[in-house]
Amino acid sequence: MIRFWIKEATGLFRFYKVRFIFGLVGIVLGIAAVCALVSVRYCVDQNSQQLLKKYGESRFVVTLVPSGKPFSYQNIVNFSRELLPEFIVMPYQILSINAFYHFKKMDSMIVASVAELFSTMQWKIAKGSIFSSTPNNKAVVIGQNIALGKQIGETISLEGSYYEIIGILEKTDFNPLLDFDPNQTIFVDIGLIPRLQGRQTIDSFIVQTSSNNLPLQEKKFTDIIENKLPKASLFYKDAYVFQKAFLQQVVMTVKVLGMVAVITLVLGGVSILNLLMVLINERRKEIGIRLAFGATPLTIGTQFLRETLMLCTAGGIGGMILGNLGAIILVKQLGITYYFAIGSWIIGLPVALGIGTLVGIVPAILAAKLDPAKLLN
Amino acid sequence: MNLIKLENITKFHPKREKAVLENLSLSINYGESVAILGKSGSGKTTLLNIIGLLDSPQSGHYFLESKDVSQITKKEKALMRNLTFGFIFQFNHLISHLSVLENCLMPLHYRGDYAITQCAAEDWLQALDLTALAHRYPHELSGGQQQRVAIARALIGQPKIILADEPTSALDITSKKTVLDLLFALQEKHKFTFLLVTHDNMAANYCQRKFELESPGKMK
Repeated sequence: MIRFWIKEATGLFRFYKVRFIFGLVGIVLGIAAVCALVSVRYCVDQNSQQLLKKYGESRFVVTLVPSGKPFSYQNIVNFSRELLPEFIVMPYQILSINAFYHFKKMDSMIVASVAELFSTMQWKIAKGSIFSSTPNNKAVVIGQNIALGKQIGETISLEGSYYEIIGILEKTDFNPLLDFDPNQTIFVDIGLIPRLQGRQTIDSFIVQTSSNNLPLQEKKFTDIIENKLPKASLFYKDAYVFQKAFLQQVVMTVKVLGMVAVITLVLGGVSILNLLMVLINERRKEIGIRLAFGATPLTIGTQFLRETLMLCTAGGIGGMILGNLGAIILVKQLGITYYFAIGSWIIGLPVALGIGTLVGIVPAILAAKLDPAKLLN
Repeated sequence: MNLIKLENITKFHPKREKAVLENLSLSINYGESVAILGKSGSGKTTLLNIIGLLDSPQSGHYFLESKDVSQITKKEKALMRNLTFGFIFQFNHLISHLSVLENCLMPLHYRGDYAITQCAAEDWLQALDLTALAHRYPHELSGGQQQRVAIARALIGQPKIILADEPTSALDITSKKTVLDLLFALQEKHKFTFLLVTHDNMAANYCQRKFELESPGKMK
């Protein structure tokens, strides 16, 4: 029976091919837009989640602009102890000095930090080791980009003193939470700040918190700092800032795609409805013959609905393939990673069948209500 | 016992006050061949539609095998049309997107029988010398061949009554004679009741009985 229906529908599609192609194009485009939307949205969500994971869901960077007495290294040590275990505070300071290697100025940044920063940020050592946090430790760890041609045990000159290279970092991803690229940085122990900078000021902290609720944690942190330094201004950077920026970058594409999906779906539905109404008019004699040979009004109605659903199934499959291929291209254009979304493959058929039922039911009822005597005269 | 019995059937044209059929009474027995003659607009096709349960009269009674079918539901009418009647129309009315075989199978499919229908159709196609055309489409056939397919479609369900509405009027004289010879040979063989609506005396002469309708639908 199903084989007969398929054969019958194939003959019908072949006979009215131009009209069916128009209807099919409408539904294919509608379903393609829906599938592409689902796929792109999934990719955006996944990329957004990955971004949070990459930059840390429980970590923020604070830049402090003190008005009055600044934080010194010793203040920080004492202050950090008070905040444990809710906040693990890792201070760092970008130093405005130059580094020289064999009397040549190096294209690098110099950052004073605690040793724990490396493990917190998951920076791995490719060669050598990390310095221990002891004051006056004249050792440096250098990033991968500036390590070319340099060996462990060689020295770098900072403010007229030589510092031994004791470690080279593996290549790491750029983390926009930080104001420096670790691959292009020379790291020294934070205890060397007074010697290298001439003053003890520390204004940047990476704070690891025990909770993922960063807005709340940041507020708590602000309250604590404001208690210590009442007139200080705090600037926060966390993964959510970058997630928001990322979403702002793609939101327009997703919105446009959503609008395209709605419009094409409506147009696809209208084109099918129009096709069905034209076909009912053209197939009046056929309906009359079928009624004469024993078809009930219900049989006629279900036949028309069945044909619509078959057309929509074909459109759904075509749209699913087209939409998902389109999504791959679109995701590449957005510059984000493509993730396979099973939903974008599953949704095509139910939506197509839903549209088919919605637009097919009225023409089916109209066809079923026709009077055989009038149709055959 | 009459197979078909019409009592005082009246049918008005939907947009005219004039009756198409007025108090028409008619009886047809099992196995009879009856010609219904009349000019255009005399109500021949309307009468055939009422007999074939495609249309309903405004008043009067229609007994089919002694059962009053004037007021039965659409579903019951559809079932009766499928089991009792076979239709042959003036312009054959084959379904364009179905092959010859599929056109012939249609009445059997409405009985819900998909399994044994193919063999039955093939037998009928062979009987009407249409086997070679089974997988062709109507537009690939000549007028005479199309009308033979229409005859096969009408007979495949082995109905008790065949209703033919000017089946030869669109054919040339040679094809007309071939089709009429074939129809009456089949009637002779299968003993079905045959109602032929025509305005052609040559076709009517094939039938055992003739009725002539005079405007407005009164029997002469």
